[in-house]
Amino acid sequence: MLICKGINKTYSQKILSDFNLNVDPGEIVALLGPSGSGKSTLLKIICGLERLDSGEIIFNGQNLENILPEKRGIGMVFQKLALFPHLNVNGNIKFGLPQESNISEISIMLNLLGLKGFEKRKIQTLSGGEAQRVALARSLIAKPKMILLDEPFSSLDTDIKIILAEEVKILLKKLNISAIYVTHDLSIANKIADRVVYLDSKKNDKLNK
Amino acid sequence: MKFKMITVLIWSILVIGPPIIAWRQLSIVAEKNIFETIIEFDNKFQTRDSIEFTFLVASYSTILTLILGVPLAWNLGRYKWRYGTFLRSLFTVPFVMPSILVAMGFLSLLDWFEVLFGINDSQNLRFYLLLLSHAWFNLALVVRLCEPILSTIDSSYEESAFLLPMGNSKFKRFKNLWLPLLWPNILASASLTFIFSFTSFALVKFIVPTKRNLEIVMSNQAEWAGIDIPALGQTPSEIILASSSIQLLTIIIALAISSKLQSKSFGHQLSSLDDKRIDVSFFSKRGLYIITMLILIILPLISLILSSFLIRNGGSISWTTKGWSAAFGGTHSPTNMYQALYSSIKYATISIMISLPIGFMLSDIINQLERKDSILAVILDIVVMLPLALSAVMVGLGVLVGIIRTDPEIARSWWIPIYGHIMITTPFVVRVLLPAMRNLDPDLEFSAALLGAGYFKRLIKIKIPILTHSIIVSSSLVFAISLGEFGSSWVVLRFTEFTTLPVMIGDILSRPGFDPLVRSAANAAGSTLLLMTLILFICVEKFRPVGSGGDF
Repeated sequence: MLICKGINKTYSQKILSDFNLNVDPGEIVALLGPSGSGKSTLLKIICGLERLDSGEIIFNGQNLENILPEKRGIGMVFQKLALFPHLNVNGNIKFGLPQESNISEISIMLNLLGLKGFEKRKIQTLSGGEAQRVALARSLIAKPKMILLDEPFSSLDTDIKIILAEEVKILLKKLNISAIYVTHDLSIANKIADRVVYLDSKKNDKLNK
Repeated sequence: MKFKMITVLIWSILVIGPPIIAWRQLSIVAEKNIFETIIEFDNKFQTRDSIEFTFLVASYSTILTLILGVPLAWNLGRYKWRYGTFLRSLFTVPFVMPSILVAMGFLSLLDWFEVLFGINDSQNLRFYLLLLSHAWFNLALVVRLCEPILSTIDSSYEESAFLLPMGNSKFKRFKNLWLPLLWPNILASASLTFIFSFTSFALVKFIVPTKRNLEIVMSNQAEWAGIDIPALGQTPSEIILASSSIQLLTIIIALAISSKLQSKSFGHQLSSLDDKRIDVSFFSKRGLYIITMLILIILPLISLILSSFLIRNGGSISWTTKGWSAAFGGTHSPTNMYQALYSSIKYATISIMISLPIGFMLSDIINQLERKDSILAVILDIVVMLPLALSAVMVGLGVLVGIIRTDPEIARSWWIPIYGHIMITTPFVVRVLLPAMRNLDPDLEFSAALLGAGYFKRLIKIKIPILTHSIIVSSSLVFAISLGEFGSSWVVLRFTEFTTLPVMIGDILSRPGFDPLVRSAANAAGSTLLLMTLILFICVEKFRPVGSGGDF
């Protein structure tokens, strides 16, 4: 489904060097690595927010090189969640609703993520876990074919992290959405992923679980 | 992308086009190049002493501003005052005041000196008043640049200085700790004050009408500038060419110094969130100083309003509303106040409608280039700020010689004054919006893009709603600056139906003062402009985003 071939990216120093990765349909891959190893950069390259220096990204048989981020059909949950502060929970989720979709899908999504009754809540009043769920709901309602999760649980307590990781895995499997989950926490990676890929900043080695 | 390129192109043509056409036309008429006109500049009768006067006034004004402003910044920054936020707002009022209003405020003080204390009007007194008015205007600048470093500096610096030989007295701490930390900010505010005093127009024109700085010299020659009839246009074109070149060069040098010094500021390296400022009461020596400075700020404004109800006839004074009737009736000016107010509001509204979208797009482009660490961000920022390096009179001359002289019929177009307003106000929009955009988490826009939102949807649904406060602040600033714009409009406006409120005030003040109603009518029109500016200032203060209010 997703094929990353020979990805290279350099800022002031080499971040990604000849990196390769395949993700199958419905598969959840955890990308593990230390800070600065290029995990977040790789996600941004896949969804089109960063340009690659060389290499290829093929998604569902299509080369993504000249396709705008909004046209790629790939969702992303950011580390700091990026929930729109001027919109409430309903407004944030509605932002991701495709034009042709029915508005009732919002309440289905709210139910699915245990957010029923939160519709009118302001973003600033949500707890860390609630905010994560809203961010996930907003990404999922756009019906992406793949979702990228950039350490979305990093600011939470370990207990909540593990619960949420399990919930997310069940949800993604239920919706048959493939995902790349970036983390530097091996226990979470093991909990959520079908396969763990280790990203080394120097060699971009891969270690499959 | 195409949209962004068009915005940059429009702005570059607006900024660079008319001045280049104007300089070329002036050079053709003068039959000399810029260097020849500068060399011969001092031989022209009209310009004798003007350079010396311009530098003298700018230097003295800068020194006086620092003498008054640095202690003010110190007292506001190092001590905790009751109603501190309100106090700071009051001390920044002068920055948004139209210069013609300040001129009138200080002129009305002259009347009160004579009425209350018997101090007679004299050239010397007017010269000192001019310096004081420049200091009044620029106090806000010193406070804005120096106060934040004083109020947020880590208290451990001063505590450790206390315990060391180099800092065990107040003087030693000032000399060895504060001065070395503050000097980039102090000198940066000095350079900016020098620029504003160097390009002062309305204040010099009305407070010391017998003197000429370079701005007045250029404005006086505007009538015949660029007209290709040797007997008429040669000398004015020569004088304007030389004056504008000398002025531009001086401003660019001062701006470069200011920018370099601001980058050397220690503020961002030393700040701490702990607030250990000492509480001070208004009933103390420091309190007395702050109250005195407050009176200095408020006095010209109150004096202006009171003077609009005052008529002086020889030695006697009387309280009356005749000045207001004269202003509204238009008996002492080519147009009445209703018409001038209508034109002012019309031009200010149009300025918002044009400057705001252009400024927003330019800020957005600069912000995106900055995120990519592109050198183009710096270049575009300089191009955007270029009009601030030109004075209002120079912008007006650019329009007059660069646009109107190409087809005199253009002078009859209602839109012609708008050009100057847009040039002068757009950089302010960028200076407010750009810092706000820098504070915006880029992931918000990325996230919207990944949810399928294109550029315009992201703009309308994400950026504009989040930046609403900054947009209101910049709109209010544009409206206030446009309402009070005098220099460019004074040079450009040729027909009374387009006369704005500041130009109307200028017209009234230019009349011989034999009629006792002249000053009263001008003060009434000025009071109206003052009230409108104050309302806009309150709007700016109310909506200024906390901690990210931009550069103003």
